[in-house]
Amino acid sequence: METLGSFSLSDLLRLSRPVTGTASLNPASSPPLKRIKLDQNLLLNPSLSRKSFTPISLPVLLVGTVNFFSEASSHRTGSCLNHCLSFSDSSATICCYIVDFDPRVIGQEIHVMAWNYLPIKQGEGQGVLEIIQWRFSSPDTAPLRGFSLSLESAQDSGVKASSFAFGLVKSVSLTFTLPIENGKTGEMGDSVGFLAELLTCMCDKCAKMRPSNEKSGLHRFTESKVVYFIRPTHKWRPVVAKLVGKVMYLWGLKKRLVVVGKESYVMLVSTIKTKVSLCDSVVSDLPTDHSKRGAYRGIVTGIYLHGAVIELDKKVWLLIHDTLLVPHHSLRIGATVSVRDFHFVHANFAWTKVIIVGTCVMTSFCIDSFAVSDTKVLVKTEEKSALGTFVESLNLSAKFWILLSVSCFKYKFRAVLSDKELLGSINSAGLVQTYSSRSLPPDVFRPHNSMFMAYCNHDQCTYSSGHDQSKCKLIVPLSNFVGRCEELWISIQSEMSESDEVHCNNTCDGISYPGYRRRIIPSDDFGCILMGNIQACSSSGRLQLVDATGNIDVVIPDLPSDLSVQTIYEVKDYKVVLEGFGIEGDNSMYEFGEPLSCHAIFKRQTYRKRIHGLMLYVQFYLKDSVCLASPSRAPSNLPHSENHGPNHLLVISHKFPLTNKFPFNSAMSICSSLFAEALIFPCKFKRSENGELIQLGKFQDALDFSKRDHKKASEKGPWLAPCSLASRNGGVSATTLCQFNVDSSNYMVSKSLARILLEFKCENFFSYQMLRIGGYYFLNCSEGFNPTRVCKCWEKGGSFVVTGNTLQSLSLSFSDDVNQKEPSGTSSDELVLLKSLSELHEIVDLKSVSQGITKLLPPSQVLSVSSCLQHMFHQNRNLYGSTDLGEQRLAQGDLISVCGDVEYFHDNDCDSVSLTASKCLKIPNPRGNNICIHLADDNQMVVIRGNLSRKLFPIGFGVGASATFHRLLLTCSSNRKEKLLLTPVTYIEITSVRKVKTNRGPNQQMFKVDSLIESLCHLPPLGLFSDLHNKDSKVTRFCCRILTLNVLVLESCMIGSSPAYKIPLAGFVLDDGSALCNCWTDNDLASTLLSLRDICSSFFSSDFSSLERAPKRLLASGLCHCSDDYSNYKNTVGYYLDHILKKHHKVIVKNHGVSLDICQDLLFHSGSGKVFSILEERLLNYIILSSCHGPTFIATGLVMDASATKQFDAYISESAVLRGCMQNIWIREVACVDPLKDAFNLILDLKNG
Amino acid sequence: MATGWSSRMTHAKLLAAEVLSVTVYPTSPPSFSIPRRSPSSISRAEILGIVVSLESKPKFVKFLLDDGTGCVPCILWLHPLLPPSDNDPTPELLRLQARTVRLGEELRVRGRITLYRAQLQITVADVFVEKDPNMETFHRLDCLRLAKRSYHLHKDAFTST
Repeated sequence: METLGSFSLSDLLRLSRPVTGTASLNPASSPPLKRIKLDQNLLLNPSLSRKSFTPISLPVLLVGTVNFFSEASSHRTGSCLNHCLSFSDSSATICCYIVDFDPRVIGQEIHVMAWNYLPIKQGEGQGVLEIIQWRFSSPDTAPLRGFSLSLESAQDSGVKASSFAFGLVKSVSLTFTLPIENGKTGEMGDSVGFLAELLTCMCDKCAKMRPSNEKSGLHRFTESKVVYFIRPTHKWRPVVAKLVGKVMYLWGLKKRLVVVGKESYVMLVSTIKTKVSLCDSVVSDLPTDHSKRGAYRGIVTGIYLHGAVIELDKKVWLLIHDTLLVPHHSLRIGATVSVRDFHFVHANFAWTKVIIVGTCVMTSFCIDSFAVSDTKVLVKTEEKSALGTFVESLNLSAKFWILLSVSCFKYKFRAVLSDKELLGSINSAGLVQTYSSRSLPPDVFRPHNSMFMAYCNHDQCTYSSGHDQSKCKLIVPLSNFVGRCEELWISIQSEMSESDEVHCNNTCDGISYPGYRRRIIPSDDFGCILMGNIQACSSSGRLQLVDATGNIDVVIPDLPSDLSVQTIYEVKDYKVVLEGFGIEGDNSMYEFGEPLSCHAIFKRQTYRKRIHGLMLYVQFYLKDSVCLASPSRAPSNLPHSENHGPNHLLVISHKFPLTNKFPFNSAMSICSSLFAEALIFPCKFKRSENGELIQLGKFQDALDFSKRDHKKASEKGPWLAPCSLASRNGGVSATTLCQFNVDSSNYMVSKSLARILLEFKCENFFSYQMLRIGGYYFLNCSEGFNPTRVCKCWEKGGSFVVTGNTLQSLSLSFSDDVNQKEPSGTSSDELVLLKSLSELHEIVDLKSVSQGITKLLPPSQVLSVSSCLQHMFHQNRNLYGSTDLGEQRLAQGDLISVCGDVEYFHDNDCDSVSLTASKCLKIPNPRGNNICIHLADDNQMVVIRGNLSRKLFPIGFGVGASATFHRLLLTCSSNRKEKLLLTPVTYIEITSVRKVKTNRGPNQQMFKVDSLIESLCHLPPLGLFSDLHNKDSKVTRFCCRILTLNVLVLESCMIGSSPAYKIPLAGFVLDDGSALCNCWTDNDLASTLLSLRDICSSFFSSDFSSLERAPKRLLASGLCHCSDDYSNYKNTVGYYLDHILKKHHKVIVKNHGVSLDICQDLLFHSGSGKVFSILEERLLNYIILSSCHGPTFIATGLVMDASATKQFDAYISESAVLRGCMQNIWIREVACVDPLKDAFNLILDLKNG
Repeated sequence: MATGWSSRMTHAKLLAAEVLSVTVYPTSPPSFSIPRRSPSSISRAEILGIVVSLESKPKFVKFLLDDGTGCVPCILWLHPLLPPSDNDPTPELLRLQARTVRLGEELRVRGRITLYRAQLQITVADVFVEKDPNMETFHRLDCLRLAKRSYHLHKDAFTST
């Protein structure tokens, strides 16, 4: 027969690791016991982690006696006092907890057949034995009688205790200590004990302590009595707590009046003669009229904050009542627990709804089964901190919120704040407490009573109030917030695909690109508060809100220069922007697991940004945020520290964007420095001790130092421009009056401003972000003031490394700041990312004095899209182009600044021009995408192309963004079309973003088309030649092509010394598909229709051998110059016409053919009477035939009456008259067909017609 | 639409399906009219489509132009009917145009509607390469406008179109 091993508890303690053992699965068998020594060798798998239970390889049995802990026991904790019994053998005593508890076990030796042992780390030689199955050592030792408790040693004492009680145990309080004063003797002391409430029966038999055992139904347990078990009976608490719901007898009690404060209570108090026994024959259920209290049984799925918060079944949150209450040793994840007499609320927080169960003094709590995986024993210090007291003064939902906040704060700021700074100490409040007391509404606080009072006055308990806590917002860890945003983005995508939403695809050059989406979500929709430090990211250069869990890009329109990067800011009012192209593929591959759930927060689940195509950022105003705390251990590096050195006045002329040097490693800092260009004013200022600004040296002196030729200006007499300057830092609002001696010539003074380069190292990217193009700043000068020497800062071409406190923004503004587009910001669909400079600066009315200062500044021209197009149109194309530099071509042109709304942008890898430009301009990012940006204003649109990595996009860049592009290259492509190119120095400033609406149902779509058509209504509808005879004489637009020529008159003229031509008259036959029409025009329009300015390389190409030598022949015949300046012009038809006309002075071409198919009947008349050469006739034929093969165009013209056409009679041949019966119109304007606009115009025409 | 001579010389803007469904009158040369439209005859058309088939010969280029409603056979003769004089660049220009006819190219073609072996075709007068695909939409709408306004398309026919 197999033997059972038995070992001593000291072996178990010595092992000091979680162990589990069992005797046999069959409790009936009782094999012989064999004493063994437990060591590592007996463990089934000793190499297992010490964090999990290790089974013993042998069947083992523990033999010991269960009893109460003696009062002298040194290693008892609060938990043991309330919940634990002792288990001891001859070698040691440990805590024990019995699942199937039988009160008769007290004082008896038992065999433990299935058990877990857990060492308690708090003290040496401590542990807890979880008894799963047990039996009395032998049937002989089993108590024959029922359960009873008494203090045997005191039964013979002379204490009089005649009171008794018989009733149903309703609830049992925790053990507590109460300072008492004996009413008779006046002695002070501490009373340790617990309270038990009994519901007693008032029947006569019960009153005489002779209850009827036979008919329990006769008893009505309704009368409440409180029994106060004081020392030494207080140690019975673990057993009495197990008797809740059972009927028991109590003898040997005393009736006492207990006075607490102004309240007095009559209660039964235990004595040393008290005896407790169960009345098994009387059974009664506890009354169920406790509407606010109930029972819950569930599995522990999480234990947080040292057991203060317990998650049951992943849905119920159990809050342990008092921080002094140490939970069971056996309360571990996986255990099944029963809770009885608790309070619960459905709390509606701003971001979620939770079910909270709160224990109170009456709650009974027991473990129904032990956890098998988790071995972490909860140990809690019994020191009560100020925060603990504060937490206990709150109602349940507020208490839950603050516990959650504790978790958040610790999670977020563990790296920058110490525990003491966060949680406070016994006497002082930490950040969590000060923040919470400020944030919580006053109605969440409840009076805090001692446990005695709380128990006695439990009917007035207000614990369950305050279910609506919508004002309580989550102080969200930023990584969880990012996870939530991504989750939201995926759900937006899913909703769109489910609703079959029409994707707003855009086209460019006929290619369709996917739609762009943007959502602007207000903070109220999240129910979260953002908190963290504001820093500039060293890799992206962007401003970020940072905590220990993660970061999120932020945009702060009112970003000041005195922002402390060490300060923790609380942002309640913000807007989250989610934007990007639609995600392709299956959305279900993204699983987020509710990032804002309390489970995720308590468990500190981390999230990383996973959706690469999503641009996510938060916009908020600093004025709406609260500065919470600066960590004490952070170095003091405030940028606005007092500076009494001299300052220069700067205006920022340009900011150079970030460039990606290391595109293959996103973790690496992609830029070591950032740069800005500034114009520096040639004078210095100093702040006096009382905050005033004092000008050091005069402007005129500075000009002298610069040794520039300004004498002429001085002779004119400089005029004074008083200027009031005020620094935003240091709280100075009014300062001294400075005087600039300003030349009345703008140019002179502008030239005298020195241009310097500001360099920002990684640690000062924040200062770079703070800078605004066109903004004024003070630059702290490293040199002292020396009136005899020019400051180095002012040397042209100089550079300056900006450190933390080098730059200070100035509240200098001008009322005529017109270049910045004023974002409306009033629309709910529009989000301001950048305030205009005039809006940003808050002080100084410089209207009266600004003229002087503005004259100092070079005009910064930011063009609107319409102005840009005009500018492009008026520029001389010949100035642009490209220059060959070896193998590469360098684009040439002007740098301009343009503002407008980004209508669309997309990758564009097939644009050869921009590829060439980016290549030759040496854009350092080889992986940067070739992108095409459609920038529009209310009327026009331009396309900007260039190379730009998506990683370097400024925040907010996307469809619907209002952007200013500084230093775009306006150049000309090979087909002489003006182009706007991004360059490596192009800085993109995003002023605001709008929602991109893609939710277009059929009606909305029609509306959109209608509105677009309406916007084009200013275009008159296209007319038809066939309708001309029905129409009044008015200007009409026709969509037509040239069919043939009627007549062409060419005359020579001279422009300067160069020969030129003019076209006094040209008559064409136009065909619009409805009829033919004689159309007349002259000069420029005729030249356009004949394409005389076009390069006719095809005509003179080598394919036409007969004409290849044409230029040479012309040269030989003296018709042509030989000049290098004509490199482009000499390839045009017009060039050869010039020389034909030099010979003939005037040429008239008439079409005598009746047929319109061929041009063989053209007759040429020479004004000089000379004969046309074959080549000349051939060229003229070519001109006319080519024009007949030209594109469709829009001609705007006026119907001519008969008298008007008479003047052309001399030119019109008879055959033309034969072809006649056609209307005549005079063409006023010729334009290319804009297929989109004109198509919309046709739709409108068809709809109305 | 204009009538008589002007009508015959005008290039009616049509969709391929309309060209292929014209009614042929056995005159010499044959004349054509568009069904369900005004009875005036047409002889020339302008169509816009993509080259989907191409056959190049020394004397001509034959190609199929597809505009989504049908495929119209087109023929571009590389030699004029009459022998060219020295001062006439027409042959070079025709060859130049023939070089623009490439598979996949979007072309606007004008020419006479002719019959060859009882099949309709366009004898091309000129071709123009359209670079902007939106021109196709514009052409369709223009065809619709002309059909409604000038070719007097019957109301029921317009609705069905």
